[in-house]
Amino acid sequence: MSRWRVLIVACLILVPVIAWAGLGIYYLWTAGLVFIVWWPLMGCVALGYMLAWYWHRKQHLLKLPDFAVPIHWTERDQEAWRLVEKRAREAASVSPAKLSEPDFYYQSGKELAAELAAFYHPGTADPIANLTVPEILVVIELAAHDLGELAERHLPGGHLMTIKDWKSAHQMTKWWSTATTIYWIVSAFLNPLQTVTRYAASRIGLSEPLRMLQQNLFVWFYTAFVHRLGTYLIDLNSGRLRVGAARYRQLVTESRQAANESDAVIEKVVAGPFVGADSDPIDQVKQVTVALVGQAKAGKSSLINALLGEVRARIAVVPMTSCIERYELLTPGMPTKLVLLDTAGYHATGAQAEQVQASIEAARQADMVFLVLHARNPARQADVDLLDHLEQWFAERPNLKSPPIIAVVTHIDLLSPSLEWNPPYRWRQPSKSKEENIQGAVATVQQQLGARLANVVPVCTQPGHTYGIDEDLLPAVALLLEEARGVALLRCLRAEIDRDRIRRVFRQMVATGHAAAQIVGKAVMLPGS
Amino acid sequence: MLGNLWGRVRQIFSPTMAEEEIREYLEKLRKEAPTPVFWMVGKTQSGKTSVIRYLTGADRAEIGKGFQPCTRWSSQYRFPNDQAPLMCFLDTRGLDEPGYDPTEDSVRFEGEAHLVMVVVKALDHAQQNVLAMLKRIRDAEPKRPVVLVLTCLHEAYPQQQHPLPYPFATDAQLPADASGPLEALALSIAEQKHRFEGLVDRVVAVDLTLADEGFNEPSYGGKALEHVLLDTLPVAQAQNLRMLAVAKKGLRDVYARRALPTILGYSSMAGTAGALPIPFVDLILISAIQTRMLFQLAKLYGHPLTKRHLTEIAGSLGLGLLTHQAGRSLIKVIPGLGTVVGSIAGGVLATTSTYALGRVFCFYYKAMLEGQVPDPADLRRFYKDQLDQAETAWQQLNPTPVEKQA
Repeated sequence: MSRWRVLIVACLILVPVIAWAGLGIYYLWTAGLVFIVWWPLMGCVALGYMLAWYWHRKQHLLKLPDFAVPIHWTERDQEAWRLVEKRAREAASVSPAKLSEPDFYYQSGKELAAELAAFYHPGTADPIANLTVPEILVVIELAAHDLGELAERHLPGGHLMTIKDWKSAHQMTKWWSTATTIYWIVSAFLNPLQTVTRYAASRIGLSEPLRMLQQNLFVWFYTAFVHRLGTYLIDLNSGRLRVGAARYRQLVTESRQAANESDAVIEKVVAGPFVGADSDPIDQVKQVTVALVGQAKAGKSSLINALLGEVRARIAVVPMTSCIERYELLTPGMPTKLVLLDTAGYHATGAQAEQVQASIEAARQADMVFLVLHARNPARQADVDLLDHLEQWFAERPNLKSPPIIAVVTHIDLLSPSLEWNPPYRWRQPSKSKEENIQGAVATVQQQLGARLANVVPVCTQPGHTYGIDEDLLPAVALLLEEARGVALLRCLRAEIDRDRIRRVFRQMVATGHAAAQIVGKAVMLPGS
Repeated sequence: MLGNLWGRVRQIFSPTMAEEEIREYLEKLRKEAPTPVFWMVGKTQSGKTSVIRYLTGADRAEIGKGFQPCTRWSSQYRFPNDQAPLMCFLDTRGLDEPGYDPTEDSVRFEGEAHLVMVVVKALDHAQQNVLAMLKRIRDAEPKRPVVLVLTCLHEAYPQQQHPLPYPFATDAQLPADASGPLEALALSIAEQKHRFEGLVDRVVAVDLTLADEGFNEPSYGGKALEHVLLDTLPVAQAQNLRMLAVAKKGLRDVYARRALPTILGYSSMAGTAGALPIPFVDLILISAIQTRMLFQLAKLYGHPLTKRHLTEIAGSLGLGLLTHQAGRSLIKVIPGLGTVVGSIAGGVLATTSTYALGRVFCFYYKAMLEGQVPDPADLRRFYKDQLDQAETAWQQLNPTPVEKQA
């Protein structure tokens, strides 16, 4: 249908309605009922006004787009986020006229990009110059995709909105006032006395809520715009968008889905030992890797066996584990597969630096770390040193997130009275001397390593006497799962980038070479033909 | 001139010495006395205190209080007191602290420490720092004996009793057919021995626990440790340990047991004083040592010594007691001083008489605190008995000093 046909149809449909309205008003006027009917109707308008004012003040009219910091963000990213939020808050003081101009969005976007780039690359003359074109395109793609989704979901009739609507949104109040002015002039002729009072009432009545609604809409959209753009700019500046929009979205979605998978009925499944790491990042995003580090003979392999519920890791009275071994554990009550990395203990004899290096390497591959400590060997300088190393390593790399660390205090059965083993032990509210000593051991660890640890859990891994795994350790892991998943996602993104970069350069070279060959081929063939 | 001469004559007939001078002499004696000095090397909670507890019989709190800082990283414990120690322990607490440098301690303890005890939990294989430190200690004085004490054996067999009888042969060797819990322990001990090879002279396995821990033998391997120490200590220093072991036998009374190390510490010091080649000085020193011992013992019994007690004992015994405080009058009162002076000036009698005096003082004090005043004749008999016993023991411990020299 062409436009005039639509108009005809619309008019034909509207004419009776308008006619009825006009005739109704005329009847009321002749019957002298206008005044009686007018007041309840104006009451509705007044109520609307009040509600609009109330909700606007509380920003309930259109809820501001809720925003949770992505789990894979580092400390530095969160600091950068504060800049984004500051800009979003400024929206309240910008005039609706400005907010309705597409240019304003382009300008703000540019400014925000410059601000964030300067934050991530301080001291550079032109920080934006470092960014690659595909990455910027990815930001635009992701932000636009998100905004589209938001508009469709939250804006009434958002899927029909055109730029013209957008631009004319703030003109609407003008039209309204023009229309009402004409109306008032006409009615003033008909009933000059009543018109004055009604005019005064309706000036307050209608134009104000409309203006508020409009302002609210603009602020909502602008905030959403700044938030989304800021989010992806932060990921861009941290170098995580080099994987491309599709892959980025896939990894994030997989990670989110893994978190929401139901933990209804999972059979305990264990696997391993494997040597080496698995390769597909999609799989890695769905699981949480836990590195077990600690001094020689602290009980790392025994802890793995206790967690798996089977004897898989070799244990002996003398140090056994010499390289990193992988085990997999799927356990009821834990929505995610845990991958356990067993490492060689440090601080025994021989190449000290090498073993510490291997432990640090394992911790860097992990999303969570179990620092395994022997309850009866309180000499822990080596552990303090390891944690310091790790802390420093992550401090030097602000684009990575350090994994949460749980200290697992093993061999609590050897604590005095050592001949007694009679669980359960309520060590948090000790009443027996064994419980007091367990609490004491935990307190010692907290004092020695406290600030670096997310939690301290005492366990016994002695076969047949296993205690504290299901009671304390797994719940502690569950509490930190979200944080660990963030580390996993970030690690996978980075790994993907490193792997992809080489492959992509190679692919591009081949493509360029191919094109060049074609050109050369054509050039060679031309003279011949 | 005349005054000076008179002073010398007076000195001969009624010897006196300024308090300060005595203190100086005693300080010198303390250094010369054959007090064994043990250098304890090991990680925190590896069982060092348990070893000290076993050797001294002192309790944990007492040991903790007794340790005084002596270097930046180390502290020392003179048992039972600073004046006349029977044993001395050096402990390097800095071992697991950041930035610890063993050189300072190596220099300070060179020549002072007679024996190094490396205390390692049998199942603890994280010994990097201990090894590094031991290498330096060994390099500084390769001839000084080093004993590896493997502790906490029960960690290899949790919630089980110790296998009895003590199954370890020399150097913590387990029988080849060791089975069950001992099999794991044997593996671990072999690994430890391999790790410390060339750095230690002897190895001994112990498990020294508090009685309320509930083990069938709280001093598991204690005797083996004592033997190893007596074997490896220099002969003179081993003496104190031997005396303690012999004297401890048959002592039931708790107070007497507690007093014993004090008595032996002063006896050993008196012996050193008795061997001094300067006439009269030794006599004064021995009397000073004995007085100090009595004051120290009285403190142990919780009742300070008064002049009345002193005269009472001196009067009853009539010999041996040459107190500075009781003064010259006592010397005049005591009959046959000349003979005593002649015979006491020899290491053996100085030691044994001091020992006997200490013991009789305990006997007297205990009776007095129980509200009885012992009969002087009883006191004399007891003193005589103790002196005889000490002399026999001494002869047993040092059968033929000449032979040893040869």
